[in-house]
Amino acid sequence: MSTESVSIQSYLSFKLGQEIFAANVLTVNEVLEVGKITKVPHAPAFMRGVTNLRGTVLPVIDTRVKFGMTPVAETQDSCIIVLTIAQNAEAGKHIVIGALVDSVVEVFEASQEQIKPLPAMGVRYNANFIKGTFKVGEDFIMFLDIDKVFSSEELVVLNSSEEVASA
Amino acid sequence: MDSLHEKFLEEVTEFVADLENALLELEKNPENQKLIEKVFRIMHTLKGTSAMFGFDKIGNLTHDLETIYEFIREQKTALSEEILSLTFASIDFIKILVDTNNELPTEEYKLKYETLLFSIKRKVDILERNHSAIAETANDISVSAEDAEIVLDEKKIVTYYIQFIPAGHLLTTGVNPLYMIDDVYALGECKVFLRNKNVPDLLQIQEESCYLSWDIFLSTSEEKSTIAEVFLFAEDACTLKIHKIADKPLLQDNAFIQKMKELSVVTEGISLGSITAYLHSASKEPARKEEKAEAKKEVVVEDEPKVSLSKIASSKNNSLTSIRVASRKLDEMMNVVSELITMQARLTLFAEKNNSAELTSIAENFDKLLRQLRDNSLKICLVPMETIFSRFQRLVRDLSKDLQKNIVFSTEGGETEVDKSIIENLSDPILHLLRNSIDHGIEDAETRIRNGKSAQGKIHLKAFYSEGMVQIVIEDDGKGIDPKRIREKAIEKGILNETTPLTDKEAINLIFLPGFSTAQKVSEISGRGVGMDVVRQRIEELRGEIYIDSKVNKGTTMTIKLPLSLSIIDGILVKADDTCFVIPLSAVDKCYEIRHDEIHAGFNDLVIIDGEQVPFYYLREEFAISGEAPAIEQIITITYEGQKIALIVDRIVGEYQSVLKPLGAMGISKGQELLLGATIMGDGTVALVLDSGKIVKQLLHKVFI
Repeated sequence: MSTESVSIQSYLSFKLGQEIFAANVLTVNEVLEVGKITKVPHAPAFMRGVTNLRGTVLPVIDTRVKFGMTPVAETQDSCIIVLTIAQNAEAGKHIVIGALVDSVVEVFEASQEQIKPLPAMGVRYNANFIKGTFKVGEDFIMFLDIDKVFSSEELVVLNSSEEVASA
Repeated sequence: MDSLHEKFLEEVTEFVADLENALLELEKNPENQKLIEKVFRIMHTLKGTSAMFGFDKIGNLTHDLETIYEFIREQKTALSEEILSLTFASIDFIKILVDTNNELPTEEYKLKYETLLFSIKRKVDILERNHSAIAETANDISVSAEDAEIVLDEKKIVTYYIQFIPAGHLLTTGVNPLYMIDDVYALGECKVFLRNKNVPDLLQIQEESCYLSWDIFLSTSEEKSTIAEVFLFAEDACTLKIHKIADKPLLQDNAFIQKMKELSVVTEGISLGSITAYLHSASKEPARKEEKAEAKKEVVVEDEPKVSLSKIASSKNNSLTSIRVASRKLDEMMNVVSELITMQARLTLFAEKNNSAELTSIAENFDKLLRQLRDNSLKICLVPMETIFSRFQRLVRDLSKDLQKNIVFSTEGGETEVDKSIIENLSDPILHLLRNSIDHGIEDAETRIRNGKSAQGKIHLKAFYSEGMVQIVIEDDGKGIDPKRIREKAIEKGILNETTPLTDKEAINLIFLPGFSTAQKVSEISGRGVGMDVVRQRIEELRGEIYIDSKVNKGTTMTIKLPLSLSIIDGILVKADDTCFVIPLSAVDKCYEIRHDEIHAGFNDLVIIDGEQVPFYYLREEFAISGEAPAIEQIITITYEGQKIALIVDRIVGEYQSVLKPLGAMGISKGQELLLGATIMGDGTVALVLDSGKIVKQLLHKVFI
């Protein structure tokens, strides 16, 4: 999904703890209420489990764990953002995953110019995941490179390291 | 692409498969006239239809091939190895052209195509020259067996009565019957009577159906076979009877014409009986015996027993015995059935909650019907293995020729039926295994004789049902796999430690590891070290398994086991804490109860069941399920390949039909090997389906299976 051609894009923002993140709406299919999530044995820690998305099985990733925060129990505001992610390994293939977030904030528009590169200091996250930041009043919103955050390679790589760690 | 075009491509694919089979048969007995006829007919049809759809390249190939086969058909030349090879090469091009929509992908292909076309044309030239050199005064021997008279006098005019009854679907095959009748006119003097009794009321007419048939009288000097050829295109879609009714140009006889006119308007219409009766009474002298006998002979052109689904049971009633359905529609149907099963689970749950006797009985009956529907739908989606066997025949033939090995390939159990989605994904792995057998397994003739075997190698492919699975076995009597060499190779590649003890069977199974190839030199066909691991991966994607068994100098046997269906399984629903699991019913033997405190009292992870010690798999622990275990737990015994284990769960809910759903992105993460997938329960939650076989294997610590 090239963003160069269009300068103004829509983004969906969501909260994890106190931080606000945003993802390009083009990657978002829908936002779900949290139903019953079935745990999957032997799955990596950031995999919350699987849930039913209208008859298909949707893997749910606990975004907090993925970003190195402590997991929390689901609240009234928790949502699952259903995302389509391009699989890098095989061109043209997509996978659908759910990302469990604390709450969904809004959909807003931002132009390319407003998005600033990440300051080198004081960021706790893997810089690869963040495309840039955008200042709204006092808040910084971090733009995620969704394909990178949840890419299948990430999942697999993390899995193997998790396994090693837990073995 | 419009539907006609699609249909054409489908037909070509079918023709090509038929052609291949016929040619492979012909290779064994080149004298078989029936098969030669068949090849000729297919070529003829291919030529016509491909020209119609603008596939001129296929047209060019088949045009000249048809000429060659005509020579063979008329026994002016014999079917040689050279002709067969040309034909096979052409078939390959036809396949490519069908895939690429009449385009040749690369320059290299274009060159090859031109060369092939040239060699075919040259063959035709040679044949034609040779043939014209043979004295033309030789009498033409007519082809059809029913009509084995030698026509000495070219000018002799006889009269034929032709009954031409098109099948209802003739027009949909793109054939216009009127053109054929025009062609008959071209053969001589002709009188045509139309039968339109079968035309229904205007409102019921389907514009694509053909309701008409014709009675044709033809006075001609042509052979019966020439007349039959006119109708060649409609052959599979009409009933055609050609009778010789007189040895003279009857159509000059006005009385006869008048009589026929009268006959054609009465209800019975014209029939062979009424014609002969009239001729008999009309002729002063009694009809010659010979003529009568002649009249009884008929050439009935029927289609050969084919697997084609559009068969007309009889010309009288157009009842279909089978129909062709697009795969996509079947997939859609299966999806709906799957959804229904999920719905059914909801209904059952709802009925349980509401204590209404009527609702319960509705739910139960619905469940019964749904089971039938499910089984029927699954059956509809089954395809016999034969459909891919012919491809293998061809591969073995070509490869053994390339490698100059003498190999007999036999198949059995082609009628074994497998779900179509499985078959689609099965042909590549089997092709690979066959390649391996031909390339590495079967030795060349000299080596075989040195080792006291017959010079001819054997490869046998069989398919059969057993244990509720489909099994496919590929056996060869080649040199086998030497566990010693595998071991050396594995150590050399660093896959194995020198000290690791390994049984021969385990050693042989090492060939399924990625990057493992024992071929001394990499050949075009196999031995790049990609292969066996990919084969195994493919088979496992289909929820199947592959085993290998081999004896040095005796041969190798590969066994593939596959489930009958990919999407729906019968299972037992169990719970551990509040997570639901489904265990496939096929593996389950019995259920028992066990007190929680007995589990850890057992020594060495064994429990005593019916007096025997059985290793157990404690689901709570293995799957790290939190919560308090109940005081009484349940045991399900599972048998897999003769190994029995006990699976311990909190409680058993009951039997459960589940629609298997892939785990999506979860499936690509590691550590999910123990799950076949997931299924959606009646209340919308997701239950996980366990792969009982894998659990048994894991429990018994078999690393190399």
